[in-house]
Amino acid sequence: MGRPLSITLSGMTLMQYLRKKETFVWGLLILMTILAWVFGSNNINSVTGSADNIAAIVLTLAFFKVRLVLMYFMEAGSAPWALRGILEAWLIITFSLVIFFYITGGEMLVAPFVR
Amino acid sequence: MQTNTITKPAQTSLDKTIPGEAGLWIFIIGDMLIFSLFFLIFLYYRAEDVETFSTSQAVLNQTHGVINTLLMLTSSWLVVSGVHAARIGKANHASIFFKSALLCGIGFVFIKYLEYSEKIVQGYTLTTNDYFMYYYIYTGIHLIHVLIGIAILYFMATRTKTMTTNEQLQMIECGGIYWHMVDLLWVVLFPLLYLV
Repeated sequence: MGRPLSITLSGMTLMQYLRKKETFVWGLLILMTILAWVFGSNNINSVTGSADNIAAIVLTLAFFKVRLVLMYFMEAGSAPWALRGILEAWLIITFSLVIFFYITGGEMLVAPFVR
Repeated sequence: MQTNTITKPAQTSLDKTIPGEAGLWIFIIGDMLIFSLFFLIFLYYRAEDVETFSTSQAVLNQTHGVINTLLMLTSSWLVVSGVHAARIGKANHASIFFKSALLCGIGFVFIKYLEYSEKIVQGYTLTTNDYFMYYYIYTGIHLIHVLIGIAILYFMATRTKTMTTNEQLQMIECGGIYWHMVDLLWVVLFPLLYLV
């Protein structure tokens, strides 16, 4: 009886590599990519400026994906708190600033430093 | 101290080891900070001319961008599997995984070539307007990161069979972390430049 995915690599099957939480994470990442694409596609948004709400959703999805990559692929999730803390801080600060700059252009933050 | 035992980084909270090594993370975080600045600079100037930026963005081929994102994410999964295989001593598997990730990287570069040439033929170059300047420069710098990553993956794919000590496994891990960073940067670049 043939088993599905019975590709064998020296005794171990591909299934054994697939049965990991990182595979589930990969699936989530793919799903969110397609979701963001559908939300952000030119069919939905007008050319003169996509709705801020849709952009916020797409950007939130993006940074959630970044967090998944950080925590599960780069293994920051199981790293010492100092490293994890720095990365989580970078994530939340960058995400907040990106949303803020997207909506306002960041004028408020940049103005004190310009001229 | 040099042993040939292959250990996984500790998973318990009592004995956490840093993935890769500290020096690498200084580089990684630094690179991420630079790209963060790139994102904000883009958004700052975008706000000064939303209409030009939006109409220019509409010219991009989002399909290329999505395919590239899927390639990057899949290559990261392959690298994760490769690192896991290396950790349990399955160097042959690791090599296959790293080579597959490398192929995904080459696919990314190829799509970029298709994308750039399509845009250039249509008349959109680096000097067309501010949006395209950011598009070419940011994706270009990212592309250079990808090329470096491909070289690193090649090194990992061909050397993994002889890299079995903890120190050498750490190098494999470092290569993997670098590749994930390249993936991570694209995950933000794609929606920023193509979607929103």
